Amino acid sequence: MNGKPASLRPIVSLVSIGMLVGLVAIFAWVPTDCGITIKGACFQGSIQRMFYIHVPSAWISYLAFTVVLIGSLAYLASHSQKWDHIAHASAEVGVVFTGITLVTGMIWGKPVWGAFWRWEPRLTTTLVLFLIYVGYLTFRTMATDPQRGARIAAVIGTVGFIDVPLVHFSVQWYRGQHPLPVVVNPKDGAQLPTEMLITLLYMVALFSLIYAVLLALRVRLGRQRLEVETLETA
Amino acid sequence: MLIAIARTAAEIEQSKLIYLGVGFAIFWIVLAIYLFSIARRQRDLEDRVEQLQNKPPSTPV
Repeated sequence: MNGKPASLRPIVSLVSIGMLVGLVAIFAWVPTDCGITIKGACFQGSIQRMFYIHVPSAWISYLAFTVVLIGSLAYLASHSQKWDHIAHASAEVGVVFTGITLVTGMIWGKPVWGAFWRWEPRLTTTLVLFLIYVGYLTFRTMATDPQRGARIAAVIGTVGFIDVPLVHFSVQWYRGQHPLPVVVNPKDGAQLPTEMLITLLYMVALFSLIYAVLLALRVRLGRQRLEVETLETA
Repeated sequence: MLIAIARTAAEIEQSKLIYLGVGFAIFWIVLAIYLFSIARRQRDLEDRVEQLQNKPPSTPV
């Protein structure tokens, strides 16, 4: 081992402080969304605040699976295990954040749509994305030959990425019930009030930091596992 | 009539707050479980390395 691995405590503290600031912004600074009222109640109301967890999680899932694509292609080209570790680690973090995206979306959907789940394009393609990378991780666990396993996983990681643009553009290509983009909107530009936009961008930055930290920790775990395997065979 | 509408609005808002709370709690729980899972796997690997490094060298019989 290259020295004692760093403790998780400083990272957890940093993320907790960042989150605390985020929560203050989400609950105390950002106004309640009350553009449309139904029977005297705001149509979205406080449940709109789920947006600040849901959207950054979705962004991280895009980012994570893009890193899987890059890592997989680089591994196929170079056969360097460094790239395989990065792709594997990023897939795991991506699955966690896609799961969070799905669950927070479902919880938002219940009071707004009246149902936790609708088989509409954005939800369905996101579920497919989640299942593709759960399959990728399952395959990695079950593969008996590490070299061959890494090669096939790299192909799955590359082909699986096709679903990422499908998820992103599904709301524009196949009009479903999912809200249209309000930040990166090619037609109308950003449509959010300043407080909402700043809070969202802050949360996206914070989630990106969380992703980077988790990725680094998970890559180190992959390297340590390889070292253990080397020691075991020595 | 107005009181009834206000009460309904308050109930709807309250239920949304509960859903919001559940959503945020799930996010924290998932993140914490994942962090602890990484820490546990790392500890297991460290223990294994220590075990392998302290293993006496095998001597031919």
